[in-house]
Amino acid sequence: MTEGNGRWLGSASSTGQHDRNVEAVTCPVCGNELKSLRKLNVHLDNVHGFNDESASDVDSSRESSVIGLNTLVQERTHERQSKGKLKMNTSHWKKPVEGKSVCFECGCKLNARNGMINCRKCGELFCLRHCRNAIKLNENGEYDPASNVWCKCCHKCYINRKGYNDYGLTRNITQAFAKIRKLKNEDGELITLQLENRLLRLINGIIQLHVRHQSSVFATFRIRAGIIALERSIVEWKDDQMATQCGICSQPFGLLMRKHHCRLCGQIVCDRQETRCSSDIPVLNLMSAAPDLSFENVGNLKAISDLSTGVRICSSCLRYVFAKRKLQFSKALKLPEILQQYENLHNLETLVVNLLPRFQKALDSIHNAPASDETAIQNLAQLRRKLLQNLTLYDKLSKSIVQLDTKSTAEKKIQQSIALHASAFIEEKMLPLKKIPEILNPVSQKVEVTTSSDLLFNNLTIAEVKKYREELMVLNEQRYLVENMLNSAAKERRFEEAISLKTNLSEIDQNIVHLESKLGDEGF
Amino acid sequence: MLQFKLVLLGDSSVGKSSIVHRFVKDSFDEYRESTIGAAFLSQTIKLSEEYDEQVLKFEIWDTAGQERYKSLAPMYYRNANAALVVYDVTEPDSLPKAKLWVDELKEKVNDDKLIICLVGNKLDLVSERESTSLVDEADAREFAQENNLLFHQVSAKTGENVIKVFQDIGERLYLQNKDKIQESKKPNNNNISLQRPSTNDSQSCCS
Ligand SMILES: Nc1nc2c(ncn2[C@@H]2O[C@H](COP(=O)(O)OP(=O)(O)O)[C@@H](O)[C@H]2O)c(=O)[nH]1
Ligand SMILES: [Mg+2]
Ligand SMILES: [Zn+2]
Ligand SMILES: [Zn+2]
Ligand SMILES: [Zn+2]
Ligand SMILES: [Zn+2]
Ligand SMILES: [Zn+2]
Repeated sequence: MTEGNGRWLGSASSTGQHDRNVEAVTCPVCGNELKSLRKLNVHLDNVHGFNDESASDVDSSRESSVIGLNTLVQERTHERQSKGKLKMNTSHWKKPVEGKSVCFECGCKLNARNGMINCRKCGELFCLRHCRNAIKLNENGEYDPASNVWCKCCHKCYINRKGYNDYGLTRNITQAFAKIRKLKNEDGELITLQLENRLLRLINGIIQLHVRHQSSVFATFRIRAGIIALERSIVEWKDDQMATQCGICSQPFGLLMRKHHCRLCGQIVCDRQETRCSSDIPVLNLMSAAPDLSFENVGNLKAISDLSTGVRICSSCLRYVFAKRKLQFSKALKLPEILQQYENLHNLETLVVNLLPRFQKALDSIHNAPASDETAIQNLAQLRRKLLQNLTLYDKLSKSIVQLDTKSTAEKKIQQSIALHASAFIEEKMLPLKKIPEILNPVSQKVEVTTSSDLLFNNLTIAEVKKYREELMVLNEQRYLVENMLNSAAKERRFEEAISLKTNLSEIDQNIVHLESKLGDEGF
Repeated sequence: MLQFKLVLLGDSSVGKSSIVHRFVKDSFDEYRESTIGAAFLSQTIKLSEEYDEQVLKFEIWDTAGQERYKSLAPMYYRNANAALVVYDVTEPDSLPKAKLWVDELKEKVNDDKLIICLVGNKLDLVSERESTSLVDEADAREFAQENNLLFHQVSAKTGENVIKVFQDIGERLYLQNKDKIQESKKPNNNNISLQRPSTNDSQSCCS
């Protein structure tokens, strides 16, 4: 390879963009300097006949410059030099009809400007934009990776060729993984079963000892001696001479690090406060934490509180035996207050999120038809009211959540996140609502004869805002009441009353719209 | 049928709801829940021979006396044909409050056709209380006279005089609308609703 060739390759692969490459390049064939890669491509096509001659149907120089894939050009260089030209079968190509043919992909009218190219593979006609892939074809226009000829082809042919996006061999090992996982889980369950069994035998034994010796004068002594023998019979204790470090936290034993045997697995562990690798747990606690195990003889104890004996268990065994039980237990518990409240808050949020698109639609329809139609505005006002009601409720609820007493740092954190989320939510969802008064105002003023309210608008004192908000709330409550009365009147066919109630309902609505417009942005 | 709108006003727990329930359901509940907003009830009465045994229907709005709901009242008294302003005879503070309601009606409605009846309730308790802790009946009566109000003392608990209040109001309404009623007696025209013509625009009262 010539020196020029090397330079050309380097500059091409480093930028990969012929149009913007201002650096001069040297033709690998004749050594002429050319201003850009694009120029070189044209030069190669025209001067050295690199142009795919079989494709010279429309505008060969333009076509090839569009393909202009530098790496390909380089490959071609070799091919052409060694093999010469390939005569390709073009019988499957669609014949272009000037002014009639359209791009098979985008349907644009094909002409000299946007190109008129046959996909070499499928033969359909395309515009330049939709026929810019290069594919290796044999003389019959079939894909052949062994072929030395690169041809233009459409996107469809390009991606449908064999081996496109081929990532090599893949092996699905999900099954194998699932198998291993299942085995592991089964092992875990077996261990749990074994440990549960030991725990049951140990505790039953302890109860037995208590029952047997409870009336003896030497009860304490006898029971203790019995337990020591019992413990050794449950599981073989690891030799503590050999143990130099805790079996769980690997901390070396020393004067301050005492060795302990786990009574369930026999391994030697520490009992440091920081790691809790093991703890001495009262039998009664163990029994109440695993109430599903069948403990025997409990009824024969004089007083169950006599079971003050403790059993040392390592953290690993504790997890095996009690983790699942603890989860089940806490799942059965009632949710803490804060989470219950959050559930309500979340439901409200869903409600608002579902209402908003309807509201936006109503708003858009009013924007699009400036000759404001009464019912559309009524509809908008109603939706807005609903949204505001729900947001007010949301606000109230989130504030009450913030005021809850938290029982743990976890709850405190949850509380803070809820507060943060709630205020962001309100901020975000209030925004579209604030746009409304401008639209509703001129209308409500049209309906109402009073002009004094104009003076108040957006010019309210805090006391007034408070008062109006309260009135709005009362009105909304009343609306709800009357709506219910109306429903039952209609159901019981008390039509005259229904008429009166309906009248009142629309009066309430008018008042609500009126108040809301008075409040304007302060409506919330 | 003749239909009239009637509204009850007055301080909370003077017995407005109890009066309405005595009138509508002829029952009394010692532990009635206090009203929220305004409740709607209806009852029909028949006037005496003197009044052609005319049958009237009252559509009643029983408002809550609490301050919080005060802003609702105008909506209901604005369209009313009659108002019962109730006080508690055993609660001296409740009469001035009733007077304030009357003042508000006179000012905001300002229509001679609106029939206002001042009603002292819980008459049954009078005998067991010291007279000093009672509302001065003469005071109430005088106020009613000055302002051209009907005046009654009732007990929702025993039912004493309750019907009388509504009969009285019904008779006034009958007289007031006699012409229209005669008109309606003519064939093909037997169902009209008499609405007190509202002097104000429906919106302007509350602003
Ligand atoms: N003794 C007596 N108690 C009454 C009478 N009317 C109402 N009450 C009592 O007064 C209280 C308030 O009555 P309510 O009708 O709720 O008053 P409202 O707030 O004006 O509607 C209730 O406990 C009633 O039982 C009455 O005529 N006599
Ligand atoms: Mg009441
Ligand atoms: Zn050249
Ligand atoms: Zn195209
Ligand atoms: Zn193709
Ligand atoms: Zn340890
Ligand atoms: Zn263990």
